[in-house]
Amino acid sequence: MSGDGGIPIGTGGVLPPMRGLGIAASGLSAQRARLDAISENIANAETTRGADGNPYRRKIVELQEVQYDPSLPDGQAVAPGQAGYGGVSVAGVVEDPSQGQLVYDPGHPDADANGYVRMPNVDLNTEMVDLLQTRRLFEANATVFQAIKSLLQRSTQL
Amino acid sequence: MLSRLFGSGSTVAQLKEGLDASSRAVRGIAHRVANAGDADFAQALQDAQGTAGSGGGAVDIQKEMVDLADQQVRFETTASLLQKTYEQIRSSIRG
Repeated sequence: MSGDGGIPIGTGGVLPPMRGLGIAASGLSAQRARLDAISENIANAETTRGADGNPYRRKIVELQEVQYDPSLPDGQAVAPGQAGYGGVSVAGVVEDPSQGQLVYDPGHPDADANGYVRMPNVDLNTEMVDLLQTRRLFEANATVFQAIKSLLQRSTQL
Repeated sequence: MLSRLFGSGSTVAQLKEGLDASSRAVRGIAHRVANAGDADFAQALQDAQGTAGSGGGAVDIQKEMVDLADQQVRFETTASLLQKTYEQIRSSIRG
């Protein structure tokens, strides 16, 4: 899972007319990172033993606003992700510290002395609601991207 | 003579300002939509707007999408007007 949240448009400065595209693209990357986390959570909903021997813990993507300065003078180039450019970035991926359910299953290889197994703290309902929201936001960002693209296209036809 | 056609206060300059305003508005929409899932941003936006929180995110996606469509139509109209104005200038030069 990539936690860079990088905006895949250009590495150098981007002139303000193209900035809107970069902002919308950052929204797309952010939602894709959330989508990655959700699919990892669902895939591991029953993983009682992770790499450290403990049950899997739900991953949460933390998003952070990239400061937006609408008054940046025209012609001044700002790199995507830089303060003033605007958009969103992935601040990091954290683990949900809450404890998962205890399930009585004495035959389970990970059961404790009393026969209880600590399940991951993944709640499928929560993940599904997050999934719906993420998809809706992804679509909204894609719509904005498309709109800005058509505006730019229109201005080349003057 | 030409400054009256292209200079400040001319139709061309005013229409150009309209295009700039639409671009700026769309960029603002892009920023708010990109941050729609961010709880900290929602709080900051609420503080800036002075509105009481209603539980969910402060960014209203529906409103932003309506604004986006509105700005698209504005941009398209202004661009068409600008195009016509340029055509008029062109034909008056050619005679």
